[in-house]
Parts: sequence; structure tokens; C-alpha cells
Amino acid sequence: MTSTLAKTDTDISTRSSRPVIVLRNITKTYMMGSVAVDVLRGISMTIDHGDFVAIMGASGSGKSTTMHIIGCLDIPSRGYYWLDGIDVRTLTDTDLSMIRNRKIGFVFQSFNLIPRLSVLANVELPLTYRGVNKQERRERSTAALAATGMSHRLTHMPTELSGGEQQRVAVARAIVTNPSIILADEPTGNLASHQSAEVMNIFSQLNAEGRTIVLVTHEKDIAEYAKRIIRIQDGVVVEDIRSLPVNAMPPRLESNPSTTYHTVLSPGSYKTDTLNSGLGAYTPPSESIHRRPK
Amino acid sequence: MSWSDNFVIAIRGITANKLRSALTVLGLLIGVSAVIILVAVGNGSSLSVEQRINQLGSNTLTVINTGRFGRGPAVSGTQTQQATLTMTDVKNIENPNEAPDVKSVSPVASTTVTATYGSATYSTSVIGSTASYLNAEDYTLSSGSPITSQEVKSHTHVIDIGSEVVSNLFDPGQNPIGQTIQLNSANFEVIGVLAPKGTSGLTNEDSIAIAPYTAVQDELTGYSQSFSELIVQGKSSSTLNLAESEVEGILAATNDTTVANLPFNVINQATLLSTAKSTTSTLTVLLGAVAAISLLVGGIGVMNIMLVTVTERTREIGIRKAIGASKSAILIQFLFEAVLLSLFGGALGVAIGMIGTRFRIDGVHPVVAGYSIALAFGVAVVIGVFFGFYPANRAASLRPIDALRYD
Repeated sequence: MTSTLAKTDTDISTRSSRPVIVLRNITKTYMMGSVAVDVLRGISMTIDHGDFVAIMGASGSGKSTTMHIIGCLDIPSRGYYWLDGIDVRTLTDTDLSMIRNRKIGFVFQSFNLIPRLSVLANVELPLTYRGVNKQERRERSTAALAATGMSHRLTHMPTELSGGEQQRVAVARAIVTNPSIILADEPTGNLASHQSAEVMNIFSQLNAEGRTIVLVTHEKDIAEYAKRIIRIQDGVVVEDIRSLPVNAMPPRLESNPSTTYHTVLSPGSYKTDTLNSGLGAYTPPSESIHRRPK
Repeated sequence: MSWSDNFVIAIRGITANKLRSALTVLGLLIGVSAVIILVAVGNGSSLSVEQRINQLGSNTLTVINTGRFGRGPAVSGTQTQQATLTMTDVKNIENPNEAPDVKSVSPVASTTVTATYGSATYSTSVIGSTASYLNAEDYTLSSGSPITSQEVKSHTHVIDIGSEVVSNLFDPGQNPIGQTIQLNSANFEVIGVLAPKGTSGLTNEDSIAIAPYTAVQDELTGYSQSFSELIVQGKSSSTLNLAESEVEGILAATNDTTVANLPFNVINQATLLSTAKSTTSTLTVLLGAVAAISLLVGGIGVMNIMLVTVTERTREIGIRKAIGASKSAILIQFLFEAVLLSLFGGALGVAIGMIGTRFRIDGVHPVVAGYSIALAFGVAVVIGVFFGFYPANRAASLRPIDALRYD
């Protein structure tokens, strides 16, 4: 693997004050036929480790394009993007796929599960591309699905699940590689309100574990789960409001001891996790994210 | 990604649309089996032609009376005497001073007769010749004795008969040797039975009888002292061409004409063989080319299917790239699918080809050429890689967001 990415899985508790996402004057121009459309017209933002950020904006404001650029799914026309101190422009295609695999977990509005693969196989896929062996893949995927409350649907096909369940599978797929950043593009856009609350609570738990969450939404009550709200309009940032400090607990975290999301990938509380009692042989991966001291 | 992961992903891709994959495999299967079967048919027919020519005898020239008028060109119309092959010609050609490369000359006086034994009758061709005929034409005896020079000289009514003549005239198990059969009411004593040779071209080599030409001329062909053909055996295959020109020279001198205007056809077995060989190899190449085209069309089928598959699964490619699949992982996935399809089609094609070549096709026993199997199978797999690469590379090069947006 490439040397610049060799240390992507460092324990983030040791560097919690460093910015993880830095955008400077990002522009993006699409050619619609012969007409150039400026979708982004100079976006700049800095997001620190452990933050929970909601990017808001009307449809067509450029919030999704910003998200795609942050997620290395798209490349900017101009401007600089440092991800964990790495200038993304210098990376090769293979490096970018490795970043998408290891550093970033992406959750889409339309779930984007592969329809022909079972729930478990879908969640295993990022680990497959990473070259993890079959047994470890199975253990980690089962644990991730347990963390999002989907243990009872391992062999189901995505089409057999409700929207909320599909999104929880998608979240499990996003966290199975233990990424430090989770990007969610309108994750509740296709969900009923009670399903939205479940999924948002999972994000809150993941943030409480120390992961950086960036969320794109146009719903105000979804944005209220975040510690900071950035508004984008016509391709520029128009407002940036922080309601809680970076290292605070997420505002609407429901501390429910019977739920398991925050414990599964945390070594300290793992053994008390009753839902995972069948996984006695499971050893949490070395790059596990530790709960930050409060 | 391990090979087994790639394999599993490729199998899933292939089984996702079973009918389409089956049709792709069918296209390659037809191409590969066509190459194997058609090349085998070409091979088989060329072998059988070779065998037939070899059955004509070893190192032989056949002098055939063409019926053209001798002693001058036929167009002049003023000369009316027809050229004939006579005992004089036989003696001239047998002269070692004139034709040093000739081993033997066997005159042939042949006719078709009805053979009778008891109540059984059978229509057979009788060849009147000399003792050297059997050897020149590669006949061997399964029992009894051949006709001898003494019997030829003394006009003895003896005969060697072919295996089919035996089976048509005699009861099974009955020994024909020593029995007397009637040929058009003339009595001939059977002294030998020829070993079976099979058919050669239009004539059935087992349905003949060989007797001294003197007896045949006395009893069956009438007073004519001429022969329909001469079988000239050369001393070796390498000097057969020399023997040919010697024979032509002698005949031209006897008939007072030039070699070009010779009223006889001198057929050189070696020339015949090489002509036939080149004809049948042209046939094989032609058949192979037709089959190769169908294999190519099968390959284009693979490419077509892969292009459709890639287009149809663009969104899936986007998802895979978004969760960290590298370009090479996607490339390998689709290439694997294409190669698996063509391996499968190739292997099935070889199997069908092997089965198909077990049947007799249009009178030809196909003979499988090892190279055609290797070539067809190899080409099928190479086609899979080659035609799979373009669609696979197109899929792998997509930017994840473009692939995800695709609908």
C-alpha cells in the first residue's frame, strides 16, 4: 500500500484538536452542454476531529457537491482540500479509493446497497476490498450490524428490508472499516420520522465515540442533532453557527444502556455486550476508536 | 482481494442474468466446436483421399487409352487409325535399356461379366493381366495362390477373386479354392482369394476378379489384342517421374508422335497425391476460416454482453468505488467475468466438438487435429480477455460520483 496512507488508522484520541477536513476556495464547474454551470463558487471550511457538523442548504445550493468532494467521490475544479493533512490533489486514483475505504464511511440518501448481495455481504464488501480475510470480515460485519441493531437480518436481501432498516445496514457498512470520518448525504431523506430518529441516534452515538460526522440535510430538526450548522447558498458558505464545542457530547444523544452501538467497537465495554455474546472469539481491531475522556 | 473473492464476485455477476450468460456461452461454444469439427472434417477428408490414392498401388504410373486418334493430331481428321495399347508397348516399356526406372508393366484387359456358381450369380469386373499386377496394385491374397507367368503364357483358366465376389457366390464357410465358377459361361478355376481392401473412389476393390489376360482375351473381351490400360510400376518413388518420361518417350516413338500429342494419359500417382493433398488442404483452410469467423462473432458477443452488463451495473460500480474499490479491483471483477464466460464457453465447445467429431459427416470420418483444440480454446480465452478488457476498463475508469448518478 502507499506510504502516505500507511498511518490512516491512528487512534484519533491522541490528536483530537487537529483539523481533519480543510477546504479552501473550492469551486466546481459543470459543463451542461456548452454552458458552464458554477455549482461551487469558493467554499472554505475547517472541520476538527470529533465534530458533528450539519451542512444545510436548499436544493441546488451545492451542499451535496461539497459532500462528494469531501468524500473523494468527486474532484474540485479549483481550490485546495486537505484530508487529515494530506493534499488530496496529489493522490492517485488508487490512493483515493484507499481513502474512501479506510478513512471515510459514506451514507447515502438512497442507501445504495447492492441489491444482489445479502445484508451481511453488503457490509463485508468494504473489508473485502481491503483484503481482510473471510473470518475477520464476518466477525467485524456481524459486530457492525449489531451496533446498528440489524443482527436479526444478516441473511436478508436489501429489498426485503424497510427503508429504515436498509439505512441502518448502510450505516453498518460505513462503520465496518472503522473510519474516523462518517459522511452522510441526506441520510433521513427517504425515511419516516421514527426511522429518522433511530438513524440519527446512531450517528450521535458514533460521534460520542469520537468519530467526525458530517451530515448534509435540508431538515432543521435533523440538523439539530449536530454541534455545528454550516449553511450553503448558491455555492458559497453563508452561515456557520456552533451550538456546542467540538469535544462536547452530541446534543440529542439518548443514553440508552440497552442499545449497543457505542459499545461494539469500544474495547472497554465490549465483553458486557449481551447482543454479541455469540462472538466470543471476536477481538476488536487494533485501530479501534476509544471513547474520549469527558 | 483474494482470487476466491474475485471468483465469487464474478460468479455472482454471471448468475445475475442466467439467460444472457447462457447465450454468450452458446455463442462461444458454437465458435469453438465449429473450429474443431470443421477442421476435423477437412482433415478426415484429406486423409481418406490420400488413402484412396495410396490404394491405387505403390509407385505406379497408369497409362490409359484416351480413345483419341493416334499418329497425328485428332483435328486433322484424315487419319482414322485409333491408337491402342498392345503387347508390343508392354515389351518396349519392359526393356531395361529403354526404361531403366521401370520395374514391371502389367497390361490390363478388363470387362464386366456375370459370375455364376451353382445358382448364385454376381456381376463383377474381371481384370485380365499378368503376374506382376497383384504386386503393382498392392493386392495380397488371404488364401490360395496368385496367377503365375506360366498360367498367363498357357492361357490357363484360373482366377483370383475378391472377398465380395466370394461372399456373393459361395455359402459362408465354404472354401472357394478349387471350385469352378462360370464367367459368361466360360469356366474358371478359383485359385486364390484377395484380402479385402475397401473402396477406392468409384470402384469397389473387393468386387473384382483377376485372371491371366490371355484367358480373358480368349473368352471374354473378344478378339481385340489391345489393353484398356497399363499399370507401370516404378523402381522407387523418387524415380517415378523419370519412369514417367521414359514411358511417355517410348509410347510417343511407337505411335510416331510427340509426348504432347500422346493419345494416352499417363497418370503419375505421386502427382495425383500431391494435387489431391493441396486440394484438400485448401478445403481444410476454407472450413477453418469459416469456423474462425464464427468464433470471432462469438467473441464479439462476449464484448456486447460485457458492455451491456457494465452499463446496467454502472450504479453498482459507483457504490463499489464509493466504499473503496480501486480501479484495478473493478477491472479485475469484470475481466474475471468475461474470462470465466469464455473459459466456460471454450470448455463446453471443446466437449461438443469432441462429441461432434465422433459422427460420420457426409461420408467423411472426421479426424480431430490436436492443434485445432488448443487453437480454438486458446483463441476463445484470448477473445474473452481482449473483448472483456474494453468494457471492463470503461467501467473501472468511471469517477465514483458519475457512476452513482447514472440511472
